Amino acid sequence: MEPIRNYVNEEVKNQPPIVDVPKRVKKRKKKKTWVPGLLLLTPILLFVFGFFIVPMLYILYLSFIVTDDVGATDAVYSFQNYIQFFTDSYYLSSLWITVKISLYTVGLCLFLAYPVALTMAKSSPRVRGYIALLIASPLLVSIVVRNFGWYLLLLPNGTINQLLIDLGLITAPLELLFSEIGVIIGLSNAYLPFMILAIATSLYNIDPSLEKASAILGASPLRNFFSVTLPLSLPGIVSGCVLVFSLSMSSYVTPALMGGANVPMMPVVAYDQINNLLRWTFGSAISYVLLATTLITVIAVTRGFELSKFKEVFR
Amino acid sequence: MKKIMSLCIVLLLLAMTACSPSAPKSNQASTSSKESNKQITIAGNGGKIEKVIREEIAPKFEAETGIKVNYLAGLSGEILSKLELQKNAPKIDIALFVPLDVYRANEKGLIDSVDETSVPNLKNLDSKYVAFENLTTPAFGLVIAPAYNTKTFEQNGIKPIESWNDLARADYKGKTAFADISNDWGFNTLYSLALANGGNEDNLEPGLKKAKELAGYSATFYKNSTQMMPALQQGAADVTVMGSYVTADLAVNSGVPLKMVVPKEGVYMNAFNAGLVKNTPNKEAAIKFINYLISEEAQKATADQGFYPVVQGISIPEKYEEVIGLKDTDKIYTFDIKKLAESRAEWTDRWSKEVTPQLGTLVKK
Amino acid sequence: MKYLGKIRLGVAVISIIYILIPLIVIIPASFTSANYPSFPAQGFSFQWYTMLLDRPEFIEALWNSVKFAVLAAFFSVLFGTLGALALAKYDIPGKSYITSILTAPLSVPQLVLGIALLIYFTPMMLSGTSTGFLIAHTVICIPYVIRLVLTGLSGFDYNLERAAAILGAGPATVFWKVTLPLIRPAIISGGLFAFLTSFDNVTISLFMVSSDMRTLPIEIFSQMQDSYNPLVASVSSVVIFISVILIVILEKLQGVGKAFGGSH
Repeated sequence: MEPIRNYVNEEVKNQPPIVDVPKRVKKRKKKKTWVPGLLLLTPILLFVFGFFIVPMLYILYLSFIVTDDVGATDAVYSFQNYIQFFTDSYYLSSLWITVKISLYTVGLCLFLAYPVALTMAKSSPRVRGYIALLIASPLLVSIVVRNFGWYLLLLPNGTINQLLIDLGLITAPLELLFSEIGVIIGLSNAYLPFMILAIATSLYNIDPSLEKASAILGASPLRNFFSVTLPLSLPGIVSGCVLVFSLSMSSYVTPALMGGANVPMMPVVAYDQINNLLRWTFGSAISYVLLATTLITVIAVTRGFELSKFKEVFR
Repeated sequence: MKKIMSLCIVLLLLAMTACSPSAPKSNQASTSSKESNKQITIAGNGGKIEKVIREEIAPKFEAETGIKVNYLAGLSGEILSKLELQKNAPKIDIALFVPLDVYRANEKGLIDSVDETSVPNLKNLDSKYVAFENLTTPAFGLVIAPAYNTKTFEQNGIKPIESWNDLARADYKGKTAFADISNDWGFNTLYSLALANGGNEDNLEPGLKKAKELAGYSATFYKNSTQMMPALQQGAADVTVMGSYVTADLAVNSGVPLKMVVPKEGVYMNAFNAGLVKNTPNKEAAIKFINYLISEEAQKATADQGFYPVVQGISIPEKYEEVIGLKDTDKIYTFDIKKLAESRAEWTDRWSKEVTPQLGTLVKK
Repeated sequence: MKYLGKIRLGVAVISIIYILIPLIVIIPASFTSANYPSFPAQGFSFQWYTMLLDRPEFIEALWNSVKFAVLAAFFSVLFGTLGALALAKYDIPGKSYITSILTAPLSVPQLVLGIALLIYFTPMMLSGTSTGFLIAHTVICIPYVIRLVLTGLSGFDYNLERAAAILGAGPATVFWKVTLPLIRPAIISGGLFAFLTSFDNVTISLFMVSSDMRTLPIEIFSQMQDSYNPLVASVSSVVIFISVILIVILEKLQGVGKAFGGSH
């Protein structure tokens, strides 16, 4: 309840706080000692360190080797793989396409997800449960099978193009497949449920009395939404965006199936290097450029929000 | 609390059942290694090959010899990685490779050769099939060749395909399904186009030039070869280059009126090769299996799945003859595997940078 | 102002339909009488279901997948919830960096992670074992739990914990009776995604499997290598039908709302 003071509009600000929380409580809320916290964090840190960071450090090491033969003793260490990546317009444009498509996917997911999440938050727990299961149900089907389903629909002579032509909206089939649009359709379809549940989770936590209070104080529903609901759901939005962005950046199956050779996203390029040409070292370098791009973007965005005027929401 | 306790018990039971298969298995493996290697593991492509081994060949082989055959489906690159990492204690006894991967596996010292003394059936082998320096044993014959939809060709009065160069024709622009260079079918298309235009193993340049035209008439190159099948089934594509066993399957089992063509420049007799993994503890059993793989009985079973038999005296079933039958007059070429394998990365890079951007440029004109 | 609610509902319905489109294609395709999947499906028959009966390996693979997915979800929820609690409640230095690292497994192409783990597990004798498989799956499931539980805790009112403590509840009781019920929707959502991620994984699984331990995505991957027939559609549909039955049972036993319901 504490956060409300920081962003609720002027009328509210001039009123006495809705719930008066003593100052000392605020201080206690965040324990100064973080030792017990570290204890809780230990298992996951050990696990992720042992089974993710250490194996990935080996991949980092590989990315600095020049020879194609991993086991070779005459390995030469250099930045050659990275230099090759950053001096070749093909790889740079691949990075750009990957970021661009991921951002579009995040945007589309956010737009489509918010109304669903809002509807869930306004419904009874039972309906929430059913909607959650309904939107998660396609994830039970292998992503490959789902993409093949889309493929049948989006073919030049497929159902969607046929429908649009019959309706007289278009005369020639649209290039829905093997294009950036196709990849964005595939990715947003696959990752929309993640965005919905992330946003819904934060909407559940909003105390309905806040909205009532704001309404009593004369805020219109629109204003109510922008001043109360939206800011309070920011943690969910950021979470959802981070999930969808990271997943889109690293996805292989959807770009390969929906984009064919026309949309060389980074994971597809890395995959070809590693699995078909057995150039593990260059493939490793590509993966690290990808990982670094994702992490820097994610950290910048989350830090940005945490330091912004909405920082209280993230506590 | 009660609920949580019961949840924990359920999970514990699950954990026990999930982890149990490995425990008895390791016991079994250790006892069986004492009593003359009762199981072997084969790694190779999923799909047809896995089907014929698991359903036809393995049961018969086990009945005959008592050796159990496990099959591990995977991608060629990943199988090579596994073999390399397990170099000193292989868990895979036989790996199935296309010729270019045989070369790569050999470069890394992952396979042992076999000869007629241990594999007597080798003497029946049809020498047309490509095997890199006879290191491995061709087992599932195929050709990678163009195929087209006879019905639409007839309806639209399109001249049948006769040459590799015919693939790049405006008659069926946008209605093609070709695999990307990362795929074996795609790389083979590049090489064949090079041959058809005066190139050779040392110089794929003419092929690359022609491929740009091919790209212009194509909506995409398929990263995933399975995706080419619905394209042909739904009538989104009428022309393709694919493995003969897949063409046969589409024509006979899915009813797509496809017909494979051996272009006038020729095709090469490709095969999935069985390679004996170096240092395998089950060498004897693995060699027995390789021998069985090219026996008449096993080859008949593979022919039934649409592969060409690699031994003399067996023909493909009648139902496939019309679609993928080879004639004695068909031209067959061979090539230097080593050179192609070594230059593959370079040509792949150039393909991605020069050919792929041309995709679809001629479709709209 | 009523139209706002209508627009919201309208977009929500469109979104849900959009999510379900793959199922709208796949389920009818499994009942096709043709030899290949198409949309709209041609004819009607159960032939691809009867064919499934001859393929016991799919059933076995489904059971394997469920086992591993449940375990991976359990361990990632266990580690993830504790970790998220620590990150949300205590002022741990470098918090946002720790969070980013814990969610980083999402950002690595799975092929690379698969290779990394295969290289790492081989000398440890974990490659091709159930334990190695489970560890690999837990690594890729943890990020979902961390993210969603952190989100669930973002609006958490710590006064409630304090109130319980003042009333004499021990830390364990506070956790079980106050904290856990409040963040349950977040944990359930995280666990659900962890389960589904493990259940659908093929790339990492390919590196971790042995021949006697096949999961459903691997069976489907293999089935789809050389042919595209309605069998994969019927397998996928069977999974959906089984899930629907399980959900109906869950509803009868406890109520779906109880699991997913929020605090208000």
